[in-house]
This record gives sequence, structure tokens and C-alpha cells, in this order.
Amino acid sequence: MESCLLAQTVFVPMVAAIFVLILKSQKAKHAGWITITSLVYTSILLGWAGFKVWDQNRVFEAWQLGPEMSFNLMADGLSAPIAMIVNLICLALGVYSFKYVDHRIHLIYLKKVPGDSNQVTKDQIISRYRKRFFFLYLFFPSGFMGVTFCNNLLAVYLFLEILTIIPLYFIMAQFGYSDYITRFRVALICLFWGVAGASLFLIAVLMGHNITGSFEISTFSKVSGHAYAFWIILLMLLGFGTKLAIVPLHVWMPWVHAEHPTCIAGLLAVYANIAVYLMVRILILPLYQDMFVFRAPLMVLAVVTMVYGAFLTLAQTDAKRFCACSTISQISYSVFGIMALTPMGIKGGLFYFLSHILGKALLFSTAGILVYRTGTRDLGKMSGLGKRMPLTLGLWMVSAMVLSALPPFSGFVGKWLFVTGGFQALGKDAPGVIFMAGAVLSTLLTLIYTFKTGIRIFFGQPNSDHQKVKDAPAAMAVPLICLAVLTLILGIFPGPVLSFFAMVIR
Amino acid sequence: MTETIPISAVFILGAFFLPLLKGKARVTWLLILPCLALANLSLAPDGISWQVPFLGQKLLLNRIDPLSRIFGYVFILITFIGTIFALHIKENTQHMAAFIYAGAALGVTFSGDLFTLYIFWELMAIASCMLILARKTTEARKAAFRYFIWHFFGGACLLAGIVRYVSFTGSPAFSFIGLGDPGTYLIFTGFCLNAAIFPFHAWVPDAYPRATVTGAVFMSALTTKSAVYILARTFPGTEVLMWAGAFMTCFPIFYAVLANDMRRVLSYSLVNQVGFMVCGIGIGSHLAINGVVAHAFCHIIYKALLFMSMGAVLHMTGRVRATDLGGLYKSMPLTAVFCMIGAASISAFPLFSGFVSKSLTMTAVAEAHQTFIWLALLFASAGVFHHAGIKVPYYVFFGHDVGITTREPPMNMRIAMGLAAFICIFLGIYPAPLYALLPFPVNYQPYTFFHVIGMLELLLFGALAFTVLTLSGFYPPELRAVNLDTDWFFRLPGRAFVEFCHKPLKGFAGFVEDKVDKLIYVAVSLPQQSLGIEAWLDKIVHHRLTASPFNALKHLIPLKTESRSLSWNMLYILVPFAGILFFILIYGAGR
Repeated sequence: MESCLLAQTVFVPMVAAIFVLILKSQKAKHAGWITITSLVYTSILLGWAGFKVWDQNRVFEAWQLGPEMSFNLMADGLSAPIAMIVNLICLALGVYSFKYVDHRIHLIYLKKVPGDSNQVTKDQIISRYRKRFFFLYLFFPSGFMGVTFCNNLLAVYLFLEILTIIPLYFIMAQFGYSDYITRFRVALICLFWGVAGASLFLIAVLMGHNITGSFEISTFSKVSGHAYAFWIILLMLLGFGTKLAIVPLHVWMPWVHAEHPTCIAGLLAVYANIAVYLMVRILILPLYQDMFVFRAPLMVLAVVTMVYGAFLTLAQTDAKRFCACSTISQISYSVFGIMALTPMGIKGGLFYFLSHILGKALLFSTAGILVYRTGTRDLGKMSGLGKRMPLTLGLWMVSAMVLSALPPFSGFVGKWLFVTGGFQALGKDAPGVIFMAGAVLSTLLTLIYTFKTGIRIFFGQPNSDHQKVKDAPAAMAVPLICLAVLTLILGIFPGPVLSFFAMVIR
Repeated sequence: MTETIPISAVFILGAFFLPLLKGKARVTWLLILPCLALANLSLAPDGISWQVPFLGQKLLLNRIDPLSRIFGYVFILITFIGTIFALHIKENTQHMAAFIYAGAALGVTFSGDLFTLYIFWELMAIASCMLILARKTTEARKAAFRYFIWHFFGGACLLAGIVRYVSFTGSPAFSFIGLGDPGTYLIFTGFCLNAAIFPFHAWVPDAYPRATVTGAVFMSALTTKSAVYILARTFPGTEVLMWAGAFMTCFPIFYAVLANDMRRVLSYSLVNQVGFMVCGIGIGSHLAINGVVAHAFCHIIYKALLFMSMGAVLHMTGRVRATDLGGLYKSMPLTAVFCMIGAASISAFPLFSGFVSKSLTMTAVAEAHQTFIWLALLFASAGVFHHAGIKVPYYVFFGHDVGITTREPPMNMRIAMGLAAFICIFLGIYPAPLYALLPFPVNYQPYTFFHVIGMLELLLFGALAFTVLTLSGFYPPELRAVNLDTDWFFRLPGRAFVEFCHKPLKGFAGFVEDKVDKLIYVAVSLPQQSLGIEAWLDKIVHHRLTASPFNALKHLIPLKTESRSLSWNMLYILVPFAGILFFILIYGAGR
């Protein structure tokens, strides 16, 4: 049991998914509970793994599958806290999905069926799609754990593709917003971009294999200093860039994030942002010296993305697209931090990644509550909701504070760290200082768009259409409150997570 | 004596208790505060106390030696008299401003280093400005603004000079400085401005007539005389001061004779009297410095007395112009008597205080063998008698009767004037206490035959000249006129500057504002523009790029590739073939 701790975190959700699939349709309402139980179980396992890492510095599980292909899992100071928090977000959003999925199914599938439809009853439809949703949903935690723990580049590629194809494509296609055609179109966009990014990554991995003769990450540092190192890194960065939505490669992000059902939109932010972790794990730690060539261009691109994404967000009138565009801007904060290439900057970038996925899960889900309760996605039609939805107002403000990096929430710690790291890297000459000052100032835009929009939605003259709007249902609000408490804890006690990071990044 | 608080702090801190008090308690507090300060000063031994560390410097708040002690006494005395004079005023602002002003003047007097001096210097300017503003007329507001600009300029010069001087010599000691380094010239300019030395004197006749009735009493006593004290300490024996002082004594006489507003006359006479002191500082001998200090002491009392009497007239009648007044002796006999005592003192009649102090300076000038200066001062003495000694009482209380019937001023004003008049006469008869306070030992007897007869002759001929000039019509009659003083030369560029601000500068500002507006508009529209870019990118990536295979196919289908259009197919084969052949020929031949 103890020997396959990490493997369980990857495969238990998959097994649970199969259970969900073979449930009888009368018992479909248990699908959600199966999901939650499995995730609680993996969360406990991850906590256990975290203690072991704290004790022994790392947990390694060897699963050799063939001469070169392996399924070695490793938890160390870097992957343990990230896996823990990602899993908790999956758990919280799983609870959030209970109600939200029913709402989507009602909207999409029950309207088409006439009242006295002959063969299929309402309940059958609901149970069918609910089963489908939770079956697909469980591949998220599984894929994230795989990406986080896998020590073999091919396995990482495999899990990236699993994440793209199974949950993202199918959930978008079946439960997404908009009409049937647009849904499939956006799902295809998502698939194409995901596969393109993963393929670029695969090409780089194969080129690296030519040099090192192995797919293990631990041997990847042999690439360092090789003539092809530059090209390998460039291809990988292009691959990760599509995931991270750095400016010329960001086109998919507003579409995909905006049209996904809100309950998994928070996980989409994790899907995009986890490439930051991969960059640290695969590129920065083994190939530290070779990365310096890319420092200046990537930092400039990151700042451009921050500013451009923020402008894009400011211009949105659609509640979900608003959150999507904010993700473009936010991910680049982490990229900026890790590309400073100082220990402080890398830690700050990773910590900001954690803070961002928590904050974004909160923001997206709060926007989801708004859409669920008001029935419109148009921000312009929402106003003066604060009186009727005080809880939602509180959640929005917390997420705004996390994303705009205000104390006492976790965003502040991350921003503080990566800005300090940036100054350590660039603060030696005048252009660097000016650039850093500009970058720091551009983060103010986040403050503007979150609070400006929050004020527009919650204060002012109440809209006559929304006289009878109710506050967030408990099933949606409770997991979000838990996430808010988690980010508060991370903001006040960042010490444990940072000392986990410090085990690896020195 | 470190146990007691600094003397300046008695007033400055005490002022802030005023708003808390009401009725009799307030009056008592007003009267008790100067007494406290007086007791504090008389009990304090000579020496430096209250060293406050501040920004790496040591501020010496309480440096007492004979020179500062006598000035401290007279400042406290005049604050006491002035407070009695102002006792009927209900609003606390004026009292607070006056106390802070007096406290700042005392702070300047007892400061032991230049930084402390500068701090209190600026405080003095601000507090006195409040006394002008308290008049609450448009004219007073404008005058206060000009006054502030003057003193701001002086303070800026002083600060620059202090910084330069301290960095040059390394010590911020407030003692003899002397002209030399550029920094000292700047300090000198700052001091000269407060001492109203030509050409920096214009603020005196500009601001003092516009101050409140009671505020003018404090202003006439504190600002210029504290500057005299500073000059006596830092620049004694500077020859420039001797000539400047002699000039200062003479030229205001003509302005004073021409002026119509009685308090303006007194302001010019103040410049003239300060001239005596500045001249004495310029000579710099012990006798001269003694003369300066004694004269400052007496001058503060009788000038305040004159300002009080004119203030009382203004308070009761609402007028202060020579043309509007006359024959008031019938209704205000007591005020007339006090005014005449003040006039006699300023004209240095024997048995009045001016006599015992002015003759000290005159003797010092004579002993320094500066004949020209002595003659100038002599002329000025006669001139003082003309405008301050005769003109002020004559035009206000006698002269043509304009038929105003009024009453004596309130009791507190009368008491204050009586107190000052008593001191004038007392010191004139019995100068020993004054002489005992002077910084250097005094071996001087004012009442010699030569002094008394000389002065009386001078005064008699002065009176004769006034009578002759008035009767013959040469003496300028009572006219409403605006006199041109040096401040015209400052006001003209000032007005030009304002004009410049209004037109070209404002135009430029408007231009910049316009551009900034446009910039902000562009910045605000950036989110919308990013939306446009996004749509464009979307079109390229998600429509054009994904549709390109179909588009290529669309172009390929019309090409006739079926077997039945053989000629087309031949063409497709022939064209590339010809191309390849061409390529081979050119490059192959080249080998």
C-alpha cells in the first residue's frame, strides 16, 4: 500500500471513473459521491506523501514498463505541494459541479425534448449525462497527478494528451456553452491547440532522446551545453507557450475558457498554468545555464502578455470571457517570475501559480454562480446585485484580492517573491530597473479590472430583471469558501510551501 | 536652567491653550502668560540650555547672554502691553497668532544656532502674516500676500545662505559672521530684508497700515527689531550697514511727509528709526552697540505707543487718514496726551525715552569721526520731529476740525497706552535701569548741558521750519495720494510675471493639458483596441488558417487534371520539365 502511494493518486480516479461509467442509471446520483470519495482518498494519500517528502526529501516509485518507457513517479518538494493544491481544487470543484452540471444538462438536453417524449424520460437523460460528466471529470485529477509526478518525458506527454483529449474535448463538446455547432467548433479549437502544443513538446523530447539516450527527466541535464540544446529548448518553450497562452499563441484561450462549463473552467486554468511547473521541472532545473538566452525575450513577452491580457479583460462584457482573458494576463506573472532565473523568482513564480489557480477557480466559479442565478452572461445587464447576493459579493471580492495580489491573501506573497526575484535579476542597470518598474506598474491593471467589474456588478442601481435573484446555493458556495480559506492560509502562512520549494530550488 | 521650558515655548505652547478657555479664565491666561515668560527669563542664568538633537544637528533653543536678555525683556514687555491693548478682542485667532509671533521672535532671540534661527524666522513670518489677514479686507489680503512673498524671498535667501555657510565653515554657530563667503552675503540679504534696509524696506509701509489695529502694535515691535538684534550679533562693524543706515534715516522722511495714512507715516518713521540702529551696528563700537540696543528698547515702547494711539483712533472713528481727521483732542483728550508723549519720545525731547537712547548712538557716531554720517543723522532727527513729532498729533488731534464726535477708546486700550507712556517718561527721567541691562558697561551721562541744549535747539528749529513751511504753504498739504516707493520696481515685474503666467504660460498649460487629454483618451480606448486585435488574430488563426486546405483545394479543383483533358496534363508536365532543364543548363554550364 505504501509502496504505490503516488501510483494510487494517479490511478484511483481512473478506476473510480470506470465505476461511474458502469453505474446503473437509477443510481446515477451517486456518480458525484463516487467522484468525491475517490478525490478525498487521493487527497489523504497526497497529505501522507507530503509528510514523507518532508521527512525523506523525496518519494520515488519505479514502474519500469520497457527498455526506455517507464512510469516512474517522483514526489519532491516541488511536486508535492503543487499536486496537493491542485487535487484540493479538483475536489472543491467536484462538489461545485453537483448542482452546476444538472443546470447545464437542463439547459442543453431537456429543452429539446418535448414534454411527452416517448422513449427516454427526463430522469434517464439526466442520469446519462451526469454519469458521462463525472466519468470525464475524473480524468482531470488523474491527468494532473500524472503530469506532476511522472519522471519520464514520454509519460508526461501521454498525460498532457490525455488531459487534452478526454476531459477537455469531450466535456466541451457535450456540456459547453453556446449552440451545438459552436460547442463542437470550440472543442476542436481546444483539441487542435492542445495537440499542437503537446506535439511540439514531443518533437523536442525525441530530439533530446537522440542526445541523452533516455526519456528520464533525471538524465535530461545531459542536453545542457549541446549544440542542439537551443533548438530543443525553443521547441519546448513553443509547446509550453501554447499552453501558457503567451501573447502570439494565446488565441485559443478566450474561446476555450469562455465556452467551457464553469465548473471545469477553474481546472482549465490549472491545465494552462501547470506548464509553468513543467518549465521549471524540465527546462530550468536541468538546463539552467542554457536558459539565460531566453530570459530577456520571455520576460518581455510576459510583460506584453500581462498588459495585453489586462486590456483584453477590461474590454470584455461577457462574464465568462472576462475570467478567461484575465487568465491570459495572470499566467504571465508566473512566467515572468520563473524566467527571472533567480531562486527567489522561481519560487515566487511557482507560488503565484498556486495562488492564481486558487484565485481563478474562485473567480470563475463565482462568475458561474452569477450566470447560474441571473441567467445571463452579459456583465452590462448585471448591476446592483450586492444586496441580493452578499455571499457572492464576498467571494468575488476575495478572488479579486487574490488576483490583484493584495494582502492577506496568497497572491501578495507570490507577487512579492517574484518581484523581488526580478529585481535581483535585472536591478543592476537602469534599463532593467525601468523595465521592472513598468512590469510592477502593469500589475495594477489587475486591480482595476477585478474591482471595477466587481463594483459594476454588485453595486449601483439594481436591474429590474433581477429583482428576485437568490444568493449562491450552499452546494456551490461551501467549496468556494473552503478555497478562499485555503488561499487565506497560504497568504498568512506561506512558510511550509516555500520550504517545500526550497528543498529543490536552492 | 534646564528645568524650565524654553522661553519661546511659553508663548507658542501657551497659545494652544487659548481656545480651551472662556471668559475670565481666558483673560487671566492672556495676562499671565507674558508674566510667566518674564519670570522664566529673569530667573534663568546666562548660558546655553535645551540642546535638541534633530537630523544630526543640535538645535540650541535657549542661549541667554546680555545681548539676547535685554531684547527678550523688551519683547516680553511689549507682548504684555500689546495683549492688554488687544484684550477686548474676542476671536482667538488674533491672540494665538500674536502669541506665536512673539514666541517665534523670542525663539529667534534665544536661538543658539542658525538652524533654530531659521525655523523660528519662518514661523515669525507666517504668524505675522496671520495678523494682517485677520483684518479681513481685500486690501489686507493682497498686502498679506505681498508681505508673505517678501518674507518668503528673505527666508529662501537665508536658508540658502545658511546651508552654504554651514557647509563652508562646518559650524552652524549663531555668532559673528561678517561678510566674506557668498553664503554670508545671502544670509546678510535675508537679515537686511527683515531689518527693512533699503531697497528691501517697501514691505513695511505696505503691510503695517493694513494690519489689524492690535496686530500692528506687535508687528511694529517684533520683526524689524529681532532683525536688528541678529545684525548686531552677526554683522557688527560692517561698513555697508553704516551707510545703509544713514540713508535709511533720511529718505523715509520725505515719504512720511507726503503720506496720508497715519499708520503709513508711522511705518516710514519706523524705517527711519531702524536706520539709526542699523547705522550704529555699522559702526560697531561698544558704545554704538549699546546705543543700538538702548534705542531698540526705547523705540519698541514709543513706536508701539504711537501705533496704539493711531489704532485707538482707527478703532473709535474708523478713519486713519490725515484728510479725514482733525480736532479729536476734544473727544479723545487722553489718547491725544498719550500720542504726544509718544511723539515727544520719538523726537528725542529731553526727559523722554528717545533722548536717552538716541544720543548714545549720535555720540558713538561722533566718536567714530564720521562727520557726514553724523550730519545725516542730525538731519534725520529733525525730520523725525517733523513727521512723527508734529505731523501725527497735529493732523489727527488738532489741525482743521472735521467735526467727529467720539469717545475715548475702551479701558484696556487706555491702560496699555498709559503703561507705555509711563515707561517712556520713566526711562527718560531715570535711564539707569535701562543702562544697567545693556550688553556692555555704560559710562555715559545723557543729561549734559551740551546734549540737552543741542537737542532743544534742533527741535526748536525744526518746529520753526514746520511752522514757516506750513504757513508759507510749502509744506505739502493733506492730500490723498499714492506714493511711489521702491516696491513699484518689484510690483512691476511681479505684475509682468502674473501676466506671463496668465497668457503664454496658461496657453502652454492648456496645450499640454490638451495633449494629455488625448493621451488619456488613447489609453482608455486601449482595451477596446485590443479587442479589435483579438478579433483580427482570431480571423487569421481560426478562419483563414484552418480554411487554407479547403481554399487550396478550391483552387486545385478547377485545374483540369482528369485523363480526358490530356493536353492540360501534358502542359503540367512540360512546364516543370522545362523549368528543371533551364535550371540544370544554367548551373551545370556554370560548373
